[in-house]
Amino acid sequence: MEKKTMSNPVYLKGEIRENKRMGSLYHRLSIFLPKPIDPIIPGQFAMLSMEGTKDILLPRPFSIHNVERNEGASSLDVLFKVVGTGTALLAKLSIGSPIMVLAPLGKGFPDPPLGYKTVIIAGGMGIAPLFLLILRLKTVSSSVLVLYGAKSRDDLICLPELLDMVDIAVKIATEDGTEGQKGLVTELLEHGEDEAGTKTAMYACGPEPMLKAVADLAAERKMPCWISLERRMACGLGACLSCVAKTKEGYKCTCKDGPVFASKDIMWRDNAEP
Amino acid sequence: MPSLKVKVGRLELQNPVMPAAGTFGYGEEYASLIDLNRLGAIVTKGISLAPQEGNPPPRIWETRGGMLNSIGLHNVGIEQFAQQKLPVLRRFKVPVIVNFFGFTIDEYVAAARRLSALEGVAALEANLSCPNIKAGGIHFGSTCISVIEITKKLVKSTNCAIIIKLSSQVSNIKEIVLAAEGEGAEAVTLINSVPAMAIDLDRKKPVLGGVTGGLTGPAIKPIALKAVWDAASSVKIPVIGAGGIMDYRDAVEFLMAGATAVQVGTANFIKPTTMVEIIEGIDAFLEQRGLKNIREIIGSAQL
Repeated sequence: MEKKTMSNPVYLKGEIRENKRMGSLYHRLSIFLPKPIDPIIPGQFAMLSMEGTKDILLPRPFSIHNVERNEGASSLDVLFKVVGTGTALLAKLSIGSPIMVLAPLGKGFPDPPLGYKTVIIAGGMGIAPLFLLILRLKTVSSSVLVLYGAKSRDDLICLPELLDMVDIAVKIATEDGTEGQKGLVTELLEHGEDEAGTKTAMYACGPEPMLKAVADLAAERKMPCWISLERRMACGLGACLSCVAKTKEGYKCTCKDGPVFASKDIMWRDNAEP
Repeated sequence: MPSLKVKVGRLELQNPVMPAAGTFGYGEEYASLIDLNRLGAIVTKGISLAPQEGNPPPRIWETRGGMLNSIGLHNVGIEQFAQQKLPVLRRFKVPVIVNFFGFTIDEYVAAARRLSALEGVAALEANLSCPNIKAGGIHFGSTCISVIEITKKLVKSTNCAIIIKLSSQVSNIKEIVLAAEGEGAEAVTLINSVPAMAIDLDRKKPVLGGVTGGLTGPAIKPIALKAVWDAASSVKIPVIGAGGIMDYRDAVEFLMAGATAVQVGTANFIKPTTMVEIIEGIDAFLEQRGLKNIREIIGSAQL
């Protein structure tokens, strides 16, 4: 039977338990929820909104970075970079602040085919949904290699967590060379992970040109590959049809049919936006 | 408990609150989050004879107090709607109003015929006001002549109650609603999204893939309220008010301006439980004032 990739979402008032600043622009929010929620499939996301603010209207989507599920309650972590009015407001939330949460949403990453090695490619904030995936793949894949890249060392916000993990290999690239290999994270892929007939599956999240480069490589080497896309959203439920990406079967909702797609299904344009 | 029952044409609704077309999918998307059986009616995403791919992304952009959309009537088409979406909706006891459109008058008529033959369709809402398609949509709803022609043909071609959804972007809303009433429309819905746009300063381009879009949300509420006020004073058929309704107070304003029912749109995205809260809010509002029936507030704002 195919592993379940979607869940029933709940809409709940949560409470900020921690708002950790990570470098100048990054934050990790830990949100306490007073109810249990469905198991989180790595790659799923939450819509967050603040009641009472007049500065923004729509909820904002964030990948679920970590989760704790207990009998009567649960908690979700999200990572974000301050990029606009919504994230600037979230960055100011203090401990105890209420926050409305709609989660878990969307389709997560499927497991790799049996016996496959896995390579995970994370670009910048793309690390957010991949942390839970790494934990999952450690239990189902014969080997896990994580390629983690960003503009500069300060943008590698999950590096300490990754280096603490056992049973995975981690390679780093930064565009300015302040950590690991100098250059793009996709350049770390040029080492033939699938050589000698080893079957390898790829998982990626990050800027769209990076995703396209990964998708092209997967197509060329005929490797299974899943990518997570980011879009502006309104409902998060597949109702408003705002967040579409172009696929071989036409426009699909990133919120409901994604955010995880098989890379072979995406129709890329020249500027890398599907 | 006050009675919230209203009549919209031949439809009897348990309360006046329903979603605005296009903001509630085909209903099933929200079924795990709210009890659909509590709504006055369910209004579907706009359906056309053939499936529509919709406009290129980006399709939304948030503005101050509002939201721009350029979805372009992306929908599954009548056949898939009949086979996959309507059977799910039939499980609920709430009337289903199917919103529909065409690119020509003949397409409107053919769609209305096909939809009215389906079991579980309580009424049809003809979209004569979408700002996001090149042909059809707003074009048909902006002159009395075309509203007369299309309403007459729709009413003649089906046994279903016909509701005409109109735009505020017309020179004389009173004449337009009179035209719809005169040809047998059982209700009019006012308003659709307001034509609007935004520019990306860095790219020096419009932000929406469809270039221009429709503005919805709190920013358009006063515009919608005025349109409902004008329409309700002109026609005897029910007016369904829509545009920026965020809470029960907004809904009561529309009712007082003369709306018999209200549609909630953008607010569903912000808070999936909005419609249920509005129903409870109207109920409490009537109760607190010792009013027994919602009819006592409909059109109660008088000069």
